Amino acid sequence: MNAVDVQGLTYRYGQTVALDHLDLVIPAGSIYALLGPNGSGKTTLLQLLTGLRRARQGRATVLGVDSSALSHRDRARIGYVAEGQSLPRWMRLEQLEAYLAPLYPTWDRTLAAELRARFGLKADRKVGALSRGDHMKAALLCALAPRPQLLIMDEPFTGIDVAVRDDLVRGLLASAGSEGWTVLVCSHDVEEVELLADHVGFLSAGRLLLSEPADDLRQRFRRVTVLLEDSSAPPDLAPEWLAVDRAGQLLSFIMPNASDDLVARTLPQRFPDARHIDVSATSLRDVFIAMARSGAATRPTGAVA
Amino acid sequence: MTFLAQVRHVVAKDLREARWFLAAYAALVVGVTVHAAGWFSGTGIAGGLWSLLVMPVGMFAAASVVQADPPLRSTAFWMSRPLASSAVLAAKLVVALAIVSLGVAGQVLALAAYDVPMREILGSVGGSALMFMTWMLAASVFAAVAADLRTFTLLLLAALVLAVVASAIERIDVAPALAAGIGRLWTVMAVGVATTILAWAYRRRDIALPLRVVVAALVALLIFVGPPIAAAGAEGVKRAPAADHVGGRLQLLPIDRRHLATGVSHAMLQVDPRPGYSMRLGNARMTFHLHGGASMTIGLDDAMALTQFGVPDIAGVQWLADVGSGPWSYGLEIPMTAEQRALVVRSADSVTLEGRVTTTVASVAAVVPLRPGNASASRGRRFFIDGVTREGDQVTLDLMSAAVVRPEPVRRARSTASYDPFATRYALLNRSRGEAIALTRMSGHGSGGGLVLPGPTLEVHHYQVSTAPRMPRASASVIDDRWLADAELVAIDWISRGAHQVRLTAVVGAR
Repeated sequence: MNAVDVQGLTYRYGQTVALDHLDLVIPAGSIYALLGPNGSGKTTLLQLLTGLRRARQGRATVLGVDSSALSHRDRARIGYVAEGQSLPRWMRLEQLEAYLAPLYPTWDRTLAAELRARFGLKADRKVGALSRGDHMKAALLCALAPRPQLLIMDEPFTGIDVAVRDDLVRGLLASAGSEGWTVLVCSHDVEEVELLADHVGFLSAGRLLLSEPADDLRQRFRRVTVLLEDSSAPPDLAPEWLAVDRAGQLLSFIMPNASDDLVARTLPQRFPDARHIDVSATSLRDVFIAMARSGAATRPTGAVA
Repeated sequence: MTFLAQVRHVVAKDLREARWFLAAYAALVVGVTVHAAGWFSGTGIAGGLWSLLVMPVGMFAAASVVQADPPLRSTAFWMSRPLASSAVLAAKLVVALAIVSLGVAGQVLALAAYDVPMREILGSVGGSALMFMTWMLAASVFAAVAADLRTFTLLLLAALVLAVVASAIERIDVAPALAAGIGRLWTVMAVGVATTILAWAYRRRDIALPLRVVVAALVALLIFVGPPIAAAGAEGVKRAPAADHVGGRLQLLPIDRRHLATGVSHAMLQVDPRPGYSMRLGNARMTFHLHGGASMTIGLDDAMALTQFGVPDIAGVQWLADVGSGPWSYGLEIPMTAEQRALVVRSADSVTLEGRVTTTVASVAAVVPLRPGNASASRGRRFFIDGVTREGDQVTLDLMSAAVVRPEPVRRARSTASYDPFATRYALLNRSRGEAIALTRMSGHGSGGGLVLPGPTLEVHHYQVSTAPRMPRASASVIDDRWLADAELVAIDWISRGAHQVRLTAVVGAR
């Protein structure tokens, strides 16, 4: 079963197209990182999935329910954290927990206390007095304490220090793994979700450029470094290569769909006089930056995003 | 959680969240109520600026509650929580209703302090509450479409400017009863539209900005501008029981043709003394001078009116005023229209005048023991004795009176007489001696303002009344401190008992 199933979703802000006929599937139990530059439509997509906005075209189902018709019972199964999401500033943290607890049948007071301790939050602190990072931790606490079946997080680690972020990521991984949560996290910072995600999607200008398991993605993209014999001769470059950079005799690029066979076959043909060719695994960050700059879709051979 | 449990949960949160706003509103309502009811000042004082603040502060309180869980802000805390949008909306309406109820309670207490009959209170407060609720709904809609309280404030100011501009637009005049009916229908429609818009916003959660502007404009037009009609000026008149009803008591004296011929534009009229009459003749208003008897007339001074015509409620007292005895005959000047004069000048034998006669009778409005600081409330008014002085035989009182006055459109629609504070007469009454003496108004000034909510207003008047100089008579009692110690101040109204169409014919004589 898919936790999220999006088909042909389109949303406009006036004349500006935020999402353009988007298709997306997130398998239940997966941790899906939706990456994309600012303004790519990530937040709009998450707001559509949580029913905060209504699509003008297309359809999205979340936990099997049309996102535009989520009932309060459906929402009790979904946790949502977003940068900029407001919390009642006048409440103390303990009041906030007390206010939310009756709304969720699955609210776990023990987990809430644990999270509060882990995040270093004080129960008697007013939400309005929290720092930006602590505000985000409080929001995370509120989203995690009900043990949601689907956790949707929009830039959740903004303002959180690295130590806590890593701690949180580990905690999320453990919880998601043990409880079968589905996590959809979106970010423009790849590093903060690289450890977390088992599925990755790239969104750019309202279009999904790719969507696949993270391991496949890492396998599919290879960083190639070539030491050329002649620095003046123009290299024979394939149009689908990303992040092409040349400095003298040194040429580097990211090669999509780089299977071992393809690499072994293509590179010697393209660079017969190369002094040295190095092929290495690439990071999600490199792929993200390369794709964000090119804006082109690169789909795995035979795959449907 | 069930729907009702969610409503309770959100209401409890809202009350706590908006506690300072609500506390300020409550304090304002309490202050204005105490002020208007005159619980500590003897007589009420119109709330003035403070009473004008009640509705805006209430509206801001309602807006802040809506802004706490706004329906159209995607970052709103409640939106991603398991809360039914209908429950959130219901909670906002409950708080708005509580705000209105507090104001209504203040209004009821203020009106009750003036001994306004409960039936009138309920009728009056119902209208005020409905109006307040429509404004609260408008505030809620503005708060729902606004990004924040600052934008809400701008929207509200824009709506008020629109209302001011719209007030300058000429409305279609219709009969008062029809205007009142349309007004009620319009209000019900405005409440329905505003509530529907709120429900739609909370349910939909995502409305484009241009549509929000349209929605705000629609609500502003419906609630702040109102229906394009106005009540026409004429008061309701009873179906004419014909001239016969009062015709026997009204008689025009012959018109002197020579006066008319020389340009004197008046005639003489003689009227039966018992009821008091005022009469509208075409475009002229007549004032009748009556000859002595048991009723009043406009044009006589206060003391003479009471002395001559008596007050049924305190019948049997001896009036201590040396105004002689009747019957008295008074002339009445009737301004005639040019057509009427022309008719007489052309040697017509008679002139027929048509108009309306209003009958009035004297009635005791309040009785206050004659002590400085004493007060008494009755039928929507309170009378307060500020001071009593006596110089010889002449007694002077400093009085304050406060009267609850219905809004003009309501009075016109229901054709009810308003309290005219300057028509109220006063007398000193000593029951043990069976004597009374009329008081004449010497000087005074007044002010007016709202009570707690829109609707009835409070008119406060300060003035001096004094006994008229008396001619020495052997049989007359002496007014001294002992007489005053047992005395009461009596306030007397001339109550309208109805209006009747009349037709009078004057014979034109040649004298």
